[in-house]
Amino acid sequence: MSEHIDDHRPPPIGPRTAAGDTVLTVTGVQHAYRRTVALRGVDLTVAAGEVVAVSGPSGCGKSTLLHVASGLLVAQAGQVSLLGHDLTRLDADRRARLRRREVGIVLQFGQLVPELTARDNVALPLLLDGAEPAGAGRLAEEWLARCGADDVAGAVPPEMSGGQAQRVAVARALVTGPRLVFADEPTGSLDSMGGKQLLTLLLDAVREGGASLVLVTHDNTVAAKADREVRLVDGVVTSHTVLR
Amino acid sequence: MCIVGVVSTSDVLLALLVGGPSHGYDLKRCHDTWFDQAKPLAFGQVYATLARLERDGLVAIAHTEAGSGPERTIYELTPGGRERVDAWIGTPAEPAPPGADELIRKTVAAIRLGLDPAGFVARQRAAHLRRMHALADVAPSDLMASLVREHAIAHLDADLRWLAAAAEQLSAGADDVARTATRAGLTPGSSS
Repeated sequence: MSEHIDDHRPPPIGPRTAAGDTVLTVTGVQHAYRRTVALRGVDLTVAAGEVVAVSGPSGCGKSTLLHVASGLLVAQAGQVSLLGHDLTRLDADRRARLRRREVGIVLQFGQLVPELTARDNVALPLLLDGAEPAGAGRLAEEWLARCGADDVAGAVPPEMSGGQAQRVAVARALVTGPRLVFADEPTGSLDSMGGKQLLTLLLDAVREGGASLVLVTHDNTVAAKADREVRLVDGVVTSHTVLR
Repeated sequence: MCIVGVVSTSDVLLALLVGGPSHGYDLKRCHDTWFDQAKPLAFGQVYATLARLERDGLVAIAHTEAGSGPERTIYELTPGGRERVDAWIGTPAEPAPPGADELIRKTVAAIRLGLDPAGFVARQRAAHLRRMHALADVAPSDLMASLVREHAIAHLDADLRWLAAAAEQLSAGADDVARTATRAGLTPGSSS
């Protein structure tokens, strides 16, 4: 299992994990916020190219699971192996570099940098990773166009609708060619039609790139789009349902 | 799987005749095209219904056609039949009565018999989700197919929400479930 993350690797171009390989293994993860227990020993595996929906009612721990699995949060107990890296043994800086290069994250409200234009928001992970600015800008524009957000390339987030901001957030998550994408209620702030379009966009991009997707949702119609559904209730996995 | 539920065959046949006179065979084919995800109409049901509609003055025999096969009876709408179609479309459909669904019956029976109701609810959830996944995979061919699909998905979603609530209540009331089965004297092995 590799612990080393090279500082000077170019951004990944395509999938590099053979189909069937495991890209994420969560084992016995526990987490609590003071006295509120969010995860009570959760196991989860995700294969390369697989789309897994983590569903459950509000407060069941699904967002905590996404944060722990993606390295945004360190689990208080248990292990997380993300693309061959044991997250419990990486410091915050190395977890951040791993996320920037190999992982895309889409959160419910986009979480874009409000002072930056859409183009700069999307280029940001490339620039932080040392990419040449002109190339990063071009790639950002390509992804904005692919995500149907090229019309807001020069706008800052406060000037965008919720749907436009989410499209920009998806472009930012995919611009580095991630091997694994995490999405936390990506359609939660959108109307029905906008949500469907964004989900289709995300699924198509992930499947075309051969990446994996962990999709946290409380919406059955969103979960039904996945290859597999993992149901979480009160911090415990209650069922695995193969859908495809 | 049948998506369109129980509909009144009389009303549907009358609606099909709005387009012009027709005979039973064509009406059946037209029905099966309009409602391609419903159970196909049986010929016997079509002819029996047309006879009843004629008796009630809602359709009339326009003429008969002799061909190579059996003679065909061509039916047309009467003014009364046309009024009935307008009234049918103009009246909201009766919402499905609660408690009659197979889903409810099986859950209630599983609770009363102590036959792992939570297991039934979990299996049903998986079946519903798979059905929803299959529907989501198929692009509707036109507006009507899209509406039928959305109706099916909305109903599956409603059931899935109910199943989630049922799972939660069964988990919270596991002792009550056990007592219900015992009181009913229907727990396996408790009968004399």
